[in-house]
Amino acid sequence: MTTLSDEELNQMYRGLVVCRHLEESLSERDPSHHSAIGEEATHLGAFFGLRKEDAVAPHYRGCLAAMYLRLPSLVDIFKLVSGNGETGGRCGIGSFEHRILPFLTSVLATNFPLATGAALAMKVKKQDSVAVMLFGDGESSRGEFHEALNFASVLKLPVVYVCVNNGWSSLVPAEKGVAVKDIADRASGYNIPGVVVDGNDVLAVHEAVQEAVARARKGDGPSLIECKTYRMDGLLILDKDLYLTKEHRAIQEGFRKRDPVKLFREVLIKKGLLTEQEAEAYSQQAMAEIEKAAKEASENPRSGLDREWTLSGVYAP
Amino acid sequence: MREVNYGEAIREGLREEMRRDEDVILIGVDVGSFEGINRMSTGFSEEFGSERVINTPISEGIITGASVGAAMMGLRPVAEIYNVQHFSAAVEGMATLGGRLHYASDGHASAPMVLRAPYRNGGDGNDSYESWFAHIPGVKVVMPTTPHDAKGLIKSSIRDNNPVLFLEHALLHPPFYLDELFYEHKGPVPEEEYTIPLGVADVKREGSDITIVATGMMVHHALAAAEALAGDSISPEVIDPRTIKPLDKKTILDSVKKTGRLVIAHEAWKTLGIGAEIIAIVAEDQEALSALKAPVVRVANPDVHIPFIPDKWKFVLPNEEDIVNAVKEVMSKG
Repeated sequence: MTTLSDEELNQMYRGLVVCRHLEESLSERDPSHHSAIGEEATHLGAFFGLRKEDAVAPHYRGCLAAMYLRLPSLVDIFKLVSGNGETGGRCGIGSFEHRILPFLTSVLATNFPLATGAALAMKVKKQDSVAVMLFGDGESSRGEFHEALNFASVLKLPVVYVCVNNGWSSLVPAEKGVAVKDIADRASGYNIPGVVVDGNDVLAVHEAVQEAVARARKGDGPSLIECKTYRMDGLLILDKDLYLTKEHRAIQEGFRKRDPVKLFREVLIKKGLLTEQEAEAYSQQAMAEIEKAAKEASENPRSGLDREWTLSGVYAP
Repeated sequence: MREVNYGEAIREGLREEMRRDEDVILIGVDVGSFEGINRMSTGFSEEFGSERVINTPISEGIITGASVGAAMMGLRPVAEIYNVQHFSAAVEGMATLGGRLHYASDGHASAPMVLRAPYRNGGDGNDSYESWFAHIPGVKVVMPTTPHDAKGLIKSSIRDNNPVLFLEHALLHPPFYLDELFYEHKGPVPEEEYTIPLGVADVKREGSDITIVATGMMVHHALAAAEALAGDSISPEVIDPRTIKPLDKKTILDSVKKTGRLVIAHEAWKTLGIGAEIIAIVAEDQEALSALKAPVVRVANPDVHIPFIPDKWKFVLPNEEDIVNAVKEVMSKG
């Protein structure tokens, strides 16, 4: 049972729609985009409803959801991803002003130390905030995952680790890359709660994360939540999923039928909170706003990002 | 002036900074137990509590990386690593995260943290990894050699807004279980508060015939060598860079211009050690290069791993005699 108000449920749906169209827009513009189409419920649901002092550490795939929830406008999203935003393109993801933890490197799982350290600071400073981070199934095989979960459990840090299990680590299917069927099972090794949720059900994701957030805020330590979903558009848009077997395609098709935007639309229509016409109008409106934002961002590049700027700022004063 | 040993000087600096700023925390394996395996935190748990003196699992990767994350959110963590053997796990935190943070965030975030570890404490702990870290933009590397410098530099390192690697020489700073094998290095330390800026070398002995730039324990060997060479009427100038990044190039260049001869002594491997950088700096400076009367000689570990067994260390690690021989070799050539 959700505790979200009707207005919040509608906001959540609009968020899903915007994320879907943002993913489509970026996929069209950039063949190297890591699309999260089909996974939006996990990326949005996990970060929805947090306090602005809470830190969010998005996964590189699906980071648009965190940006949508945190940045003031769609224009800021396009500015950030095109190197004209707060970081000037010195790192691809991250807004310190809005507590989106930066992606400093393409080394996977390096969000674990940053999010865990952020939680450590929150605890030492008695801030009543939490850090929520998303990561892929493949990242649960890196040392950072294991060190962080043990460390956070021992020190009872206010952090929630949310795994986006989309069935694929790079070009390796999860069943060949991860030794357990459910990544949530890895929580038992660290004596923390580990739960599996339907990653295409935005409410299920949101509720599981909120429960873990409440636990973390109370001082009871970290949790691991595994959201099962599926990768629809390859490692990159340009790889065209050529490595998927017939069996994988059947699984993917099953997930496609349970598209997260469609699923949630049906829930809201059934509740009488939304009509097909309104849903269509949201979609049209979102697409128009995204196009307008993309244009506005490209017409207003950040100035001063010259050679001198590029060669400065290595050390903090 | 009162005499304080090297470890106590660092401990005093750390304690003063923890009293001065409640955002300073000490974090690492054993730091909150007993007196810490490196004896750095005697009495700290009692004074500052377990929230600021944080015992961790044996996980150097997350100790370093989470220190960067915590620093990003407003703390000033001082992370202690058992010894430099564990640095392979700390590289990601320092290089991939800490060193990049300020630049990558375009100045919106920084990582004011210190990673401390003893080196030369036996076996592969004898390795010197300062060059690994000095190579990384955004990271500073500090190697104090006296109690006075150690206290002033730990305070500046903690106040610095960047990730700082602070290397403590174990021969000057024995862990609690190794008293007989090591000696404690004492020196004058003022009672009153002071700091030493990062990036300023110290001329540990003035001289006119030859410049010896030495780091770590080699500073003490170089001073002993200089004393011995004075008997042969050779007057060496001994420069201790104290921080190898940022490196005080001017003090080194000025000395080379004055003496016209250069020996560099460090315990790290010769290839791409800090000696190579110092030679490059001299070669890039027309005046210093022209002043050279003889080829430069490096005294360093000859690119060999350090055997586990102590009686073989003398074949690998440079010492006073090596520095004396290097100086004589340079003097003989011009």
